[in-house]
Amino acid sequence: MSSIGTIGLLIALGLSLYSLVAFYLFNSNKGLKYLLSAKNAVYGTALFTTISVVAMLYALIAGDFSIEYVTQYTSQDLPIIYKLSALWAGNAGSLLFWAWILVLLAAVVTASKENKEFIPYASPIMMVVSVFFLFMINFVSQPFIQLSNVPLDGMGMNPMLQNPGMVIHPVTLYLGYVGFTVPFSFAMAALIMKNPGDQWIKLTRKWTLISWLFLTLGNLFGAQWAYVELGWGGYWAWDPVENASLMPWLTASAFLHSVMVQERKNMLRIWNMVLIIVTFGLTLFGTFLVRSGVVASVHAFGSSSLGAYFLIFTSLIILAALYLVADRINMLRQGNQFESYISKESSFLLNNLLLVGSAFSIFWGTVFPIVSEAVVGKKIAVGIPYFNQVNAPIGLAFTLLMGICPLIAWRKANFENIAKNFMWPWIIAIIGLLVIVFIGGITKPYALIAYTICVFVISSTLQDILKGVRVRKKLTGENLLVSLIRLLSKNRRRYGGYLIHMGIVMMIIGITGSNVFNSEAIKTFKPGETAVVGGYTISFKGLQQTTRDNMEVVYADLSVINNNNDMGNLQVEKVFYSKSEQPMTEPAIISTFKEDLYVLLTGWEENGSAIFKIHINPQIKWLWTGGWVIVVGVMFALWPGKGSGVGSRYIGRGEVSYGKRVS
Amino acid sequence: MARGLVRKISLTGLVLVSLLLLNISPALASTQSDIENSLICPACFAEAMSVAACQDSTAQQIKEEIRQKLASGQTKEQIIKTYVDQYGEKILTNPPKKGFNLMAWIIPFLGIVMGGALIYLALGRWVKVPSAKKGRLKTKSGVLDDYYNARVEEEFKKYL
Repeated sequence: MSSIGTIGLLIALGLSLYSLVAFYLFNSNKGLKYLLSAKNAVYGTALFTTISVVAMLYALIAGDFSIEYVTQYTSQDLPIIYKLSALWAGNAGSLLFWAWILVLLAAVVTASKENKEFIPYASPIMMVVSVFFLFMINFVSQPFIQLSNVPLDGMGMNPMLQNPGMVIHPVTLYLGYVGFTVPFSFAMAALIMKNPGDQWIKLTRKWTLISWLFLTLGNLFGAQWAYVELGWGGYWAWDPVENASLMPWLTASAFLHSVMVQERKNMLRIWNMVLIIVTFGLTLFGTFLVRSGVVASVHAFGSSSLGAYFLIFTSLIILAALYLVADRINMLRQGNQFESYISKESSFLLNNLLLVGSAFSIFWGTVFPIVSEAVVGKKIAVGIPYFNQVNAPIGLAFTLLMGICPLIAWRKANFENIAKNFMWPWIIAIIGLLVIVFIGGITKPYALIAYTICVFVISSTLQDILKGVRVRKKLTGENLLVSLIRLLSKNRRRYGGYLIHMGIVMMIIGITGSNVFNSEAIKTFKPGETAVVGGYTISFKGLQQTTRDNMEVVYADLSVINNNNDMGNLQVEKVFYSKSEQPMTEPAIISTFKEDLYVLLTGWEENGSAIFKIHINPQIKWLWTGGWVIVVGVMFALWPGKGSGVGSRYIGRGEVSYGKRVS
Repeated sequence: MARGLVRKISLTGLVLVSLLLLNISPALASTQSDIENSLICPACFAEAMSVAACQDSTAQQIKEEIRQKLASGQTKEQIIKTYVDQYGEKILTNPPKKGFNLMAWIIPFLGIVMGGALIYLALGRWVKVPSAKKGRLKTKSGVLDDYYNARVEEEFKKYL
């Protein structure tokens, strides 16, 4: 297996290099045959990388411990699903996995019929990135290294990674990361081809949105994994690696919004180029952070020379991209004008400012320990409180914009209209505030501000939909339901966006609740004891022990009653893995939209008493549910067919040209 | 009107920033977890993991130490200071807000303010219609309006 994998990767690298040469020859007018040859080389790269990946998967499942990687990350008693996910459990394997997704995407893009003229330029850019990754796994971090002394069993997988979350989180995250290579490549292709229009944006819209969705999910699955597996009651620790995946998400969100200005008004062309370059750069920067050991991180794969390679490659490709932008800057300069200080266009600028500002603050906080050490020679850590303090106000301001901006008209708006439009949402928000204060009894300022803003965003969004329905009803004479359905389904891009906004609002509610109102208690239970903690009546019967797959489990069954409702049983576990020194504390969770009851078994005593740590985490379920709402929103907006097209274009002063309604 | 709104917006901004300066951090249940969250586990400097989040034996030991110190009547500040004296400032999850460390907080907001100023200047260059600069539309109603409204409605129906 090892030799098949090694040879496959070498051939893949050779083919990817050849494809670059062939694309170059075609682009210097040496004939069509070179284009065909280059394309075939791209497909070949994908094929041979796939062969290596299959070889690795086979070795992992079969337990071929002659391969160092298999020995390091699996063992015979590992459940098969984790043998598969071991592909991305370690350095070399995860780079192989990354390279594989990348070359598959390159092949799909190269084969696609709808972007023919871009292929000779976009495809080789994807291949440049592929060459880098293939080089890394061929020469720097090789997955197929063989051991001279073959052990009988492997060292096993880190128990923390043996969780469904760790099967799906890296996959979604990598799909998100790699996906942004596509819009980046098309942007660069547009620059090389001196095609400054919005064609590259239109062609890659699906890729951008789906990559963004995967990045969203990747972050959420990671947070959920931390929540259910790490056992500290939280889901986000602002670790450099978490930051590394949040930063491109923020800049990509900015990009999704600002491209609309280019599509509608043919403006912000330079800015969009810069945003996609930054987003792509940040996807690689994250990998540099994890693999280099320059910052302290829970996720550190151990310091290695990999980081330096990533830093050099990322810098080179970003510099090259920025050089291209600078070289073509005259071509990108906008001919168009804004017609007013206040308009949807300008509101997008504000949105971009906050999103990029938030990304920048996270970047600054992440690298600040290095800066501090370099400037004043002092080693410090920058942790959770810092990031919360800086990002909470930015996040709230940003949420507020989400309620205001969609309702501002394109081109020209005025304060009188805006004030009139927002009268009802503000009234409802203030009523909401009063309800929260007097009925909910909440007095914490951050929570009050956050919830009021959320109510405002929801009501202003609903009001806008209602207005649309009313106009439609008047014009067509349809009944309420029909006009609602038709309104939504004929402008899916817009209302899909609204749905995504609602998902974000749900997430903000969840983040606010779980951060502001969380509480915890430590309680020792004697066998048979019943106690009330945080409104829950918890009964402890006694500790038990069992053996499961590759682990010994000590567990307690707790029955939980809340307000006379039987909430069922919680099985709280301490798990001892055969291959690991430290036991894992597996939380048990009862989750409702009001709050999560999150219980950990922290220890026990000779007499059979058990010590539990009990967290009450309000509203966390809103966070995860918001994520699924976003999935539905993206699908709604992207689903092919009528209604997924762009709205009218506003180019030149005073004229409105209705863009081709994509059907 | 326009001025009023701008003032309102900047006022809201001020309120948000002053909240930040008052340092209303997310409420934490108890002093115990407050301290656990503000210290990094000394065995985990490479991971920068807080004592609260860390699962290993050193963290357990420190949690126990904190419990005892609290029980013996020491305050949060005293306990944290003991650890800072022992390990240095790097044991804090959040650097103290003084000296060069202030740059950590200032730079992001400075960046956003400068970005905002940049956008304002750029808009000044991009907005060419002088009357629109004031944020008002001067519309005169005329005879043709009814005609145009009818035309617009007609056109609009095609897209429903």
